[in-house]
Amino acid sequence: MLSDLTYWLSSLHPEQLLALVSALLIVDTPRYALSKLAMVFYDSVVDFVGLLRGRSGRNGYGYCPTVCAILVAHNEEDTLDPTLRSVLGTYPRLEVIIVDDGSTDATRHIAQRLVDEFPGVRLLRKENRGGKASAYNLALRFASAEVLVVMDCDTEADPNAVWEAVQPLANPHVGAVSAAVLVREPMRNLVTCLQAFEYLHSIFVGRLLMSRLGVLGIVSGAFGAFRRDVVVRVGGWDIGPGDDSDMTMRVRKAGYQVAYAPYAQCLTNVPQTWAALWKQRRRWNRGAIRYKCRKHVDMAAVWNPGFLAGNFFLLVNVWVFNIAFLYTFWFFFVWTLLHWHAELWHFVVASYLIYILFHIVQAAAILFYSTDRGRDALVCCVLPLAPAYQFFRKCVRLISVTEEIFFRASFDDPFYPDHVRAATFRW
Amino acid sequence: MNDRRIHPRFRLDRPVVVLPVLPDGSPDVEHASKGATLDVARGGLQLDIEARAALREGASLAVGVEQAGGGVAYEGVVVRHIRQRNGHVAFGGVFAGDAHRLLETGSRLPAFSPDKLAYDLPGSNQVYDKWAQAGVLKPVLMDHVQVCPRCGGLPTFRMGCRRCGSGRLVEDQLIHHFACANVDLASKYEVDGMLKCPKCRTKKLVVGSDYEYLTTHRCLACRWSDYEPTRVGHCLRCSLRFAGHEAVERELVGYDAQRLDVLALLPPS
Ligand SMILES: [Zn+2]
Ligand SMILES: [Zn+2]
Ligand SMILES: [Zn+2]
Repeated sequence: MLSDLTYWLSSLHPEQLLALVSALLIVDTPRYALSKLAMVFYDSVVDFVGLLRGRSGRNGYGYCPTVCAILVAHNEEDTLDPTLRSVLGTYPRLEVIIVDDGSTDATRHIAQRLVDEFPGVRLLRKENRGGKASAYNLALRFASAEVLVVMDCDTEADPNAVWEAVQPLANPHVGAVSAAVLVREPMRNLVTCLQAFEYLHSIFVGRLLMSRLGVLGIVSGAFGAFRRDVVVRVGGWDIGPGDDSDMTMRVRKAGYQVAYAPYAQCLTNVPQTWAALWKQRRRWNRGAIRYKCRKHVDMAAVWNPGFLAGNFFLLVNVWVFNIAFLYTFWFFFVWTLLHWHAELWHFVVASYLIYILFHIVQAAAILFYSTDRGRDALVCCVLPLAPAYQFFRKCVRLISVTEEIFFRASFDDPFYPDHVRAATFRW
Repeated sequence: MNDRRIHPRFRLDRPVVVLPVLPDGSPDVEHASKGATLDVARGGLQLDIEARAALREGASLAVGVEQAGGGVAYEGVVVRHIRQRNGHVAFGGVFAGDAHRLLETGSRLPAFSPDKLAYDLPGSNQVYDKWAQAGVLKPVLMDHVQVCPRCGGLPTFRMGCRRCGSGRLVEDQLIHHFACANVDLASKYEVDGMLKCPKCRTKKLVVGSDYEYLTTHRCLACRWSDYEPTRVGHCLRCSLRFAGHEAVERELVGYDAQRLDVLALLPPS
């Protein structure tokens, strides 16, 4: 079978192969751009019809459940205070639980001061670091609110973020809500600016598209809302890294939908250097294998009683576009280098221009939904460099996906302490 | 005077300042007058001062005697035997009266009062302030105490519930299973005499390598649970319960006085 394939490939002329690559790229890159274009078109028609009928744009908030915000802090002395203050006082029925997960710096004292200052804040202290999952599970025992809002300590929420994030939960079929995570200080340097553009098109607009299609598979740990009884039913958080994606998958498995609240926005700190970014993405990309190909692969089992078509397509989407296309891309990249000749420059320039064209479409979609068009337009100016950044991401993805397939590298990630990694199950 | 026979008088000539004591016990600074001592005995002294205020027999005065080495030493006297002498007044004074009592050590230091359940000075604070302004007393920080934020009474402190302040707390033992991150009551893990995780159903857990214990606290009074009990104050006077850090830190101020040492003025016998 495999030998047939290689025989067939080697029998092709270079031009035929290039045509094949282009066809693949046409499916890979523009699929987001084109579907976003369709979504923008649909939304503008709906808006326009609404306008004709004299309906005003957005309604007030109609749903106000009790909310418990959980912040897990491991050595976060600089960021804990501003993060907590960004949510306090923004919602009427809010309690806050800070879990100090074995911090060795001043986090404990800062947290204690906040507890003394604000009566609605509780502090749970774990002497030994146990990792995020156990910290969340400990907090889960103390939370009594209907909705849990989990937050990273390096994230600052917008004043209306909690309100926005709980609104989709008015629908009893929704079990989790993803918020829009954006980059704080996007114009700091080229690395942050490229990430800011990426967050805007892949999270701010990208998740809107995924949630409309019913295949949203991630609620970022940076800011997200969960129905508490659903979290209790699925047994609380499991060991990560990637525990946010894992929890989302389990909420979906339990039969609930995952919604997206594009205007529940929060700003997060992102890596400032290429090296730090490389490290972060190596961790993130492993989840595609660990969760979507191993731990939760049973979501694709048609014979399971809890089978849901949306969950199946979520997995297929990852398998095809994040894994299969990744290796195809690299296969043809290497092939092109080996069969390099001068005319191929035309092809390189042409595909670059195609990429740019579709990034312009992405930028247009961003600005259509944006609440701060000035800021986002500035970020979109980095667009001519976006294809190079995409190439960088493909490099990281190749390495992290491969090392996870063969070495289960995510189980050696110091994101969790040694004694927990030694004890946990290897998916 | 009867004590003249028991305690012989000795000549002494030192400048003095005399402060009358008002009925409320505070010094009458406006009517202070200057003069000199005539003689001194163990129980009193004779003075000669400018006749600025009308002195009457039995009045209470504070007398400041300038010391040889500088400074003024005070003693309280009660006036006896007034004699007018061309613009001056000569009189005898026995060591007694309001100012004398004020200068005793016991009345210058704050003490615990079982009636008020608080630390207090025997007199009113304004009176002490006025004596300090007149230079007779000098405020000295004796100690700090934590008092009730509502009434200033003395509280007791103990570990209790952060929400209601009750000390009726019980401990809950939790088990954190490392492998699946489950955190639950230890009793939920106990099945057939061994430990089995209720979430992932792993059996025969070993402490340290498979799980750790965590301890939390539950309040029997209000059912609130918390990780650590907090320091709660309970006022003994008004029964207010408050968070430990809300207690008001109060300075306990006493007063120092340079008191006239009569024995040092008398020649050695
Ligand atoms: Zn377990
Ligand atoms: Zn209580
Ligand atoms: Zn009191």
